[in-house]
Amino acid sequence: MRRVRMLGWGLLALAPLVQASEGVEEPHPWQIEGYGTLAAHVADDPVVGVRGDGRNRNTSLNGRVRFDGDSLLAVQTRYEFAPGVQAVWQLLARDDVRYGQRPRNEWIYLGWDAQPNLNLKLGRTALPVFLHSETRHLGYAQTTARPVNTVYQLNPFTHVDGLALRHARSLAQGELRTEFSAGRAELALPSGTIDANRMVSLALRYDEGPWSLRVAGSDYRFDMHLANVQRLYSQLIAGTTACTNCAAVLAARAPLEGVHAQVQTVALQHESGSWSLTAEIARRSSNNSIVADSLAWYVLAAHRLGDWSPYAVLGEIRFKEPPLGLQTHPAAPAAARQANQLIDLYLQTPNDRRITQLGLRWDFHARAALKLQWERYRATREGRITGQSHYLEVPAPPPIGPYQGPAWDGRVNQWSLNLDFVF
Amino acid sequence: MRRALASFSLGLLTSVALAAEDAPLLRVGLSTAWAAPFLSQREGQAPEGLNAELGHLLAQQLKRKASFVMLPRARLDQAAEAGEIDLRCHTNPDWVRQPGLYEWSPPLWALPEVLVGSTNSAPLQRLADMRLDQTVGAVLHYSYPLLDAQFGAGTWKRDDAPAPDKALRKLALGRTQYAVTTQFELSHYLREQPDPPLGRWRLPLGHANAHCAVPRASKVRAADVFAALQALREQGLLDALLRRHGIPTVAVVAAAQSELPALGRDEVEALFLRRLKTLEDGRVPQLLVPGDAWLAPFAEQVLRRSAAQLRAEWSRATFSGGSRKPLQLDTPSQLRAQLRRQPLAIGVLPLHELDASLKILYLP
Repeated sequence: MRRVRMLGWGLLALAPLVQASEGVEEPHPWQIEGYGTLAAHVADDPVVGVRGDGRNRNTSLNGRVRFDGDSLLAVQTRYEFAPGVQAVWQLLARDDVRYGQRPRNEWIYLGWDAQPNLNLKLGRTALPVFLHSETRHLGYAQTTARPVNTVYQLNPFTHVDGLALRHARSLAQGELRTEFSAGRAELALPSGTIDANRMVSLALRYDEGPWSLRVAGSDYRFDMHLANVQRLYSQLIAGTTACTNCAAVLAARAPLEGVHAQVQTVALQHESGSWSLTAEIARRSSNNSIVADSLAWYVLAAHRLGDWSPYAVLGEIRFKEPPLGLQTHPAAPAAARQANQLIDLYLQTPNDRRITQLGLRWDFHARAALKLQWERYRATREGRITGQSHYLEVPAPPPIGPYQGPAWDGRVNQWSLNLDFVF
Repeated sequence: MRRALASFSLGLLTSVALAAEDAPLLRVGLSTAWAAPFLSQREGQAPEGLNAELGHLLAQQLKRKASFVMLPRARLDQAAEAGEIDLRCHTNPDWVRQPGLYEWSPPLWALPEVLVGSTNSAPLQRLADMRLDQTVGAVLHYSYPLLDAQFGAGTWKRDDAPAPDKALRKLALGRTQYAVTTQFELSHYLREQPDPPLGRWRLPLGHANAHCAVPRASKVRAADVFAALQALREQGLLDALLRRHGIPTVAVVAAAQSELPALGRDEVEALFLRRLKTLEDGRVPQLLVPGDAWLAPFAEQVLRRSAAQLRAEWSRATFSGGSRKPLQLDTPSQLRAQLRRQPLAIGVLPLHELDASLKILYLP
């Protein structure tokens, strides 16, 4: 990480020493641009808090308006050393569980156009998992207030330190673009941190006229540092709940190290005239119940009426982990059995939900758009709520967490007002 | 929707005309050599088409009543000299015998000329490929700078028709092998005549600018007419008129001396949405776009998107570490200058800003 940062600083420091090609008038070798969002969101549930982004520190709970959910500012500096050789540095300030509001290096890399349509990058770049992975924070480029959380929750990694390759070519009546990325990353989430030792991603995108089809696959190997889960494991193994097989089962089904996961996605877009349709589906599988096997999708339809674009989204995420089969000592009290059943359920990630969004985008300025969005979350798995900490902050009851208040009714509404701009 | 707008505007024009019954006349010269979409006339009815509507709009701006004087093209000069007309549009200083008879407006739009052939004629990549003794349909009294020398030398035979649609009809009937016309008249003809026996290829022959001209013998002040034209442009009425008649207001262009080939819509879309950096032959063009005022017509007519969608695409390309967005130059003169300096540059310009130093690569 430090090496990557030093590489970027070094390259940018060298920039003024390199002369731009002379002759015809070329775009200036320096390019400084940026984007941002001024946002407010509010959720109406007294039990469950809602985040703007899965990595926010704070949630909106019980009608409290939050301005730190989607609000962000990013500045990108690009320097073209010579035709086809560039350094790019994107600084992003966005509320984050690890960095707070401090700017962080979202991207910093050295790029080289080996051929006009073949680009290599070395440094920190985006991991091209989803349709909007590379512009996840760029609200101005999206119809909705933010990428649809059902799908984008499946991969919280936004960047990778390593190598990226991008190639484009004409194919039939359209263009085929290939993106490959490999490297490693550290990630902080509200529930802890994740060290990804190896991430590899390959994406193919074909554009023809109004149609775009994107297919991608990613492979991850990582270790998790989740303090609450680690504490829970320690209690289980120590026999607090009279679990007889926890040590073996947790080691086999839910180890915190050596996790191996894959995500496959397919996205289809159609933009024709005033209508825009997007569908994206993602499947995640892993060798670990905490990174639960899951299937998520959304469908987005938008209709442009001059500067106004009303839109609607339907989406769902379903987790598909079989029970771990935690056993309780026969002589243990019933409460211990109930506790182990609840923990078993918790480790299956029973956080299935369906979302509905209705929104309106107003392109009131050449470089700014205002969005008003209503989103409804509805838990779809029957049974007890065990707690979760991502876009939704659902408090966990004992023995998983300390929460002892009223139960969540499984529904929460979120209102968002975002002003997205580029400069 | 387009038909509704046209009905509305015609209704508006009619009511204005009625209200202006006693208003002084604006005598507008129309040429019998024009065809749709510029002019169409049914027996016993008032002239219709773009040039007639422009006459009504100008008369309305000048608080006058439009009165149309329909003449063969060769007679319009005489009428102008005799003070019989106050205005003629869709003309050019190179097309009249005595340009000094008129005061000329700035260019209103460009007329891209193309050579088209019948399905039985050999497709042409360049003019030099045309065989000897081929017959080329043309319009009576019109000059064609790229073809006139060959017509004069007898290399190719010129077959005149009274109007472009008649020349295209002769071509479809097999009486000529090729015809020269403007892209707009050809497009209109193809819309009206389903599946005529014309080849799909087109050979661009350059373009000419269309102006309005006020005869010096007229009692109407040229400055007033040009101010009215400027007002129509600023109110968006001129562009709306063009669009209503299926005429684009922007074109994708390069320097006239550039070796860049004509482009298809798919290629233009891939380049300007920054999906591809290269042309089919591997060359990497520099892309230039006009200021914000002309971005919306470009996005809508060429890329079939809104300006907001286009900017969103460019922001994706910029902030995903992809290609740079096209270089945006504030004024057409800056853009033209850059095109002349950079032979590999491809730019987007309003149609009325084209001049002889540029050639059209793609017209929506």
